[in-house]
Amino acid sequence: MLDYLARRILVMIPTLIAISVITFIIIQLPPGDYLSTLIAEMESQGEAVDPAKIEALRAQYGLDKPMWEQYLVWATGMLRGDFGYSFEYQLPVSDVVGDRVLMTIVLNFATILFIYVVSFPIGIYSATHQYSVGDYGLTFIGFLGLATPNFLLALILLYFANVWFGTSIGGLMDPSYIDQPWSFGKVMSVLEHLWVPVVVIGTAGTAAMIRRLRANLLDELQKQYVVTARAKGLPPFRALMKYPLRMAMNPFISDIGNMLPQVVSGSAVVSMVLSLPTTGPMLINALQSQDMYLAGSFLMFLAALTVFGMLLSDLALAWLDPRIRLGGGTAR
Amino acid sequence: MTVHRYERGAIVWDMARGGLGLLVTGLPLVVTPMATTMTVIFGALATLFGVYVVRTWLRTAQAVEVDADGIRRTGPLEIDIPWADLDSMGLRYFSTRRDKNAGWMELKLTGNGKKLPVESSIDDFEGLVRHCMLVSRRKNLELSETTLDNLRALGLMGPAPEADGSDGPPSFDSSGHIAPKLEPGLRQGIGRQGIGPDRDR
Repeated sequence: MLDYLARRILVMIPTLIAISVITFIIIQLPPGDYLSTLIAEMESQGEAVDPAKIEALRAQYGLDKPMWEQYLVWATGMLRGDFGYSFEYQLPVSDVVGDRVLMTIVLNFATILFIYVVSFPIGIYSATHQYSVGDYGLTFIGFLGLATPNFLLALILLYFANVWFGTSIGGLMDPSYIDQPWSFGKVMSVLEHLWVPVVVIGTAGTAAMIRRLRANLLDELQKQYVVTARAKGLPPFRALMKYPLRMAMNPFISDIGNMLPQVVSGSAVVSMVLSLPTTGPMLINALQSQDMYLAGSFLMFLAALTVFGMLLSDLALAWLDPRIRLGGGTAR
Repeated sequence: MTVHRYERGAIVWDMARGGLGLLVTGLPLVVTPMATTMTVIFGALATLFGVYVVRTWLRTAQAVEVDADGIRRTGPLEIDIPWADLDSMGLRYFSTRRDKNAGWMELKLTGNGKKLPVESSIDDFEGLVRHCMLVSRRKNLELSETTLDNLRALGLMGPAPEADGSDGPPSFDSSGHIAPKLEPGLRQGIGRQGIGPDRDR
């Protein structure tokens, strides 16, 4: 396993470097830069723009330097914990982001947990009770969740949460706790508000996961070794848990890597609708205003999350199912 | 007795990999002042690659010996597992590619309170695995389905029951464990001493 870990991380390092380069190029691709956007805005409002001041600002922000030099400053700065300067907020990126990264991690972790906790038992039930009323009912609910647009579900749940539970509209906490230090009351307020976005973002993922677990488990349950095991009197629960479930769990594990970026990007739209203090809305604003270091840092954060998720899922898969696939060779 | 050593080419590649990893993660620690979080992450990775390099270097002086009494790793960090004490055998396959190609296998033996991992970059890996498989069969050790699949991939066992339907279902013991099926040629290899095929003697 040490071999696997070392080799897998060795693959991960150039991937992250390549992503950082591509991210930087992408955020530089639109014509102009933040100052061009600022000038255009000021001119559209009829304000005079002093070219000397613009040049001074360009030099101050390092926008007059070649792209590779800007990249190196940004990339090495990240190692020091300096993610650059947000032009729009006139603050270091780390100060602008503040609690948003933590909130994003909390929201997405809770969403993934929700997806797993809900879809696992339902998937098993649907596979072991194929074509039963329960199977049809849960499948119907799953498809309903898959088909309902997130923003619509968000608005509906927001309304009912307010009417039934008195939860304040929007945000991840009661307005009285915003910008206040962390306390027990603030944590409870976050938990009170968290379930709406978690259910909204997680519903589609849950439905997809249920279908995949059901299909995989059905395939396994129809194999001869399961039939034989049951024919020989192995208790049904053991005949299910011992091998078929373990084999059917592979998509659960391999999906961790794919799920992280999906959940994070999916949560961006929901965050806009629910006014959540997560990274999604800020990323969209940063991209619109060409606030390159802020946008670049967010994109890098998402990329790192994806690569880390892939690493986790690969490690879990290697531990759970280290089988050769026919057609794959063994290196000597 | 057979003696197996890690192939020089594989060791050189592993050293190169480990060295590159150590360089990429260790150099920034020395050259650039870093944030605490980054220092912890890079430090952990550099330690991992350091252990990997040391482990690879130790392999240049290690050999795996197999005989009628047991299996042992000689050289630094010696391990000896007599066949009588063999508790489990696992054969795992790893690949860093999504298509699962170009991977490597690891044979893991436990017994006598010790673990002996052997990688497929060792010479005559199949012979070594065959030997261990025959011993595990003789001792009626449980082999996981993963191990059985990997043994089949190495050509050391017959096809899975699902593959042609003619081999019949796998045998289950009273606790619900799958018992391995050996191909006919290998059954003959279990001699009076129950060690393995003649060419391993």
